[in-house]
Amino acid sequence: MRVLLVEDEKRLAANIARALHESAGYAVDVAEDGQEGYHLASSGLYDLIILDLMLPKLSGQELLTRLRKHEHDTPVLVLTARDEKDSVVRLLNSGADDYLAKPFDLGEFLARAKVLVRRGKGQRSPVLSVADLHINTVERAVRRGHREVALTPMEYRLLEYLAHRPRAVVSKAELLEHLYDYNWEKFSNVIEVYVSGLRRKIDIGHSVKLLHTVRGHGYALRADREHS
Amino acid sequence: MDMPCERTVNIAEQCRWQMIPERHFSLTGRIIATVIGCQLLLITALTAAAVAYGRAQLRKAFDESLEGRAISTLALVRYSEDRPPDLTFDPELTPPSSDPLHKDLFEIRQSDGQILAQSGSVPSGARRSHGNYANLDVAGVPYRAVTLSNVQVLDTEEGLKSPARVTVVYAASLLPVQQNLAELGLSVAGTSLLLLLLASALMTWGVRRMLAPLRELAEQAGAISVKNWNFRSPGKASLPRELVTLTGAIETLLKRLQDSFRQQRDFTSDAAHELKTSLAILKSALQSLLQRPRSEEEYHTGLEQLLEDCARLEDLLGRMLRLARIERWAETGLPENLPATELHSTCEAAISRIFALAHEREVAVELIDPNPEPIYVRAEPEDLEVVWVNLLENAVRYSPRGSKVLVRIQQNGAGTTRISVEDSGPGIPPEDLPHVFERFRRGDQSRARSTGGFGLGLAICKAFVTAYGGGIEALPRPTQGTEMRVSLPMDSHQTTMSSPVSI
Repeated sequence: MRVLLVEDEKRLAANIARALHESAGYAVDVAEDGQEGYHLASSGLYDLIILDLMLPKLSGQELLTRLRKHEHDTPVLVLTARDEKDSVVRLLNSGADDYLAKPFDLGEFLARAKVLVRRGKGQRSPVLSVADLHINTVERAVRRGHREVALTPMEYRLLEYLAHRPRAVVSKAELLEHLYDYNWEKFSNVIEVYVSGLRRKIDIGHSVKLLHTVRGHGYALRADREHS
Repeated sequence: MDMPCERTVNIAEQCRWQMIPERHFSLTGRIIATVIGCQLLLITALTAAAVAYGRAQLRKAFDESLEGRAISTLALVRYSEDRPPDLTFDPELTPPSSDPLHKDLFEIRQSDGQILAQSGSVPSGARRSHGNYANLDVAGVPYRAVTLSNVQVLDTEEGLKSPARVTVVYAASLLPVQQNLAELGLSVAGTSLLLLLLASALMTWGVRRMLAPLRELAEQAGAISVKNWNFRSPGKASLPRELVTLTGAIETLLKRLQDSFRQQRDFTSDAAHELKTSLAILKSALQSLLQRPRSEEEYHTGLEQLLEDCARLEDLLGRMLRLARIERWAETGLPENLPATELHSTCEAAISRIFALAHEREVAVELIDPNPEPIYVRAEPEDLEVVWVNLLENAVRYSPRGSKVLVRIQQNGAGTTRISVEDSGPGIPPEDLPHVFERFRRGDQSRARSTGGFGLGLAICKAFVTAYGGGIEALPRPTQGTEMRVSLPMDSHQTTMSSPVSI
């Protein structure tokens, strides 16, 4: 998952980004003003936007309104130090999906962020299931049948992203975009390396293969044998 | 954040309560009472005048008729047909009494004192000299008598050498006159009272109507609260002239109150915002540090950053408290015994404090003070230093690397001195110039935020300079950059203080 954090308070942005990265395995891009934030947000690359309200150049409220006007439906979690009722109502009415008042609890923040990512992908349960593969997005634990599967952080990220879009074919380019932030150098064969590692861990020893390569298109997580 | 609101509401409530228990007179009541009082006085005077005039007129008429009756009685005295000098009286023809209940009294005496004729008994005190009147009391009834003494008998008899003479005393009851008078008085007073009643009713209605705008005004003013600052003055055109000024005054007062309330609320809300943000940084840093086991080095850098965050919070609090202290001066006035502070040294101190930042940014700071004698200002030296440091900090932060910031001390004439801090940074957009001294100014936050300020520095400068009786303005420099120009009144004892130095 890739998250855009629009926050001009550098120290706060660093803390939040670290938490998102460490505890949810999300890739995080930080924008320090509203204009940059809008520019990045409208690229459509993100699975979640975390938005501060008091921003230089373009206010969070304005950014949100513009984003929704141009029909970008990325979930938006607003951070605000002003918790007056009317401003909260205005926020929600102009398209925010959730909000948190500063100073917030980091645990609550992470939980809400995960909920929004899940909901953005059309999922409600924190446990994503494909056949007998279960991915607990809260504990970041993966089980195939009754067996725990130990994954590296990058493998987990890859699996979670695919599991959020079951049966769909996800291109390599999309995976690159959503699993890395701008600070990483991207090599396309990196994905192939992780996919093969992941496949070894979840599919070997099972008659039903789940992780499929659709040649020339990308990858899909599904429980059928046609393309195996 | 709700605190100040609630406090203000309570004050408004208290005022309301203080007003109710006291008894207040009604303006309508007073106006009506005054007018009715005046009218009553007028009616009394009018009735008295009418009665006095009527009495005089009635007396005159009564006296005339009394004299007429006496003369007509005299006309009944005739010479006897048998013995001519002797007189007779014909009682058949005596005129009827004016008051049917109390008979007229008269007596006619001949010149020798013999009574020729009489009706009833005329009291002896009734007789006066000719043509004069006497007031009598006959068995409790007031009478008035006229005396015609020694008048010639009107009947003429030829051949008589000298005509006979008689004295007539004629008295009639005054009761009818008195009754008339009473009726007159009653009718005048009655009519006037009736008119007065009518007038009062009209006036009550009129005064109520006239005072209606006042009541409406009061209602409008009463509806004002922290939640509702709307004051709709009842239609200006229909307002009496006297109330237009009042309405204007209320509107101005409200505007000022609202402004200061809003300013206060904005400040509280901005301060809360800044504090919450700072707290959010601290909290998120701590929680993210605790999220999983860290290496000793990670803990160390984490704690160091936390310490930095604490210092930032401390700085913010310090600035807010400083601002609050100056605000208090606005109410209590400047503290007495302010020292005479030498300007040059405070500028030098400020420059040395900013040196590290300037060095880091490769910006030079130069102090230009061409004045031959030191300039003194009545102020706390630390406060002045804070002002210079804040101005210099801004200037240095926005100056391009390798440029120079100038501090100029000038004598302005007319007892003021001017201190300018000039930078050659990107300058302030003209539309932002009037707002740079506002607290937590939001014009361009990237300027304040990304450079570490809170938008309080310039507000503090302005507050200090204003408190010390001076002024501050931000001006674009003709070439490039900004000039912050402070003017302060010079110490009035400057000459006496500096003279020992020059001697």
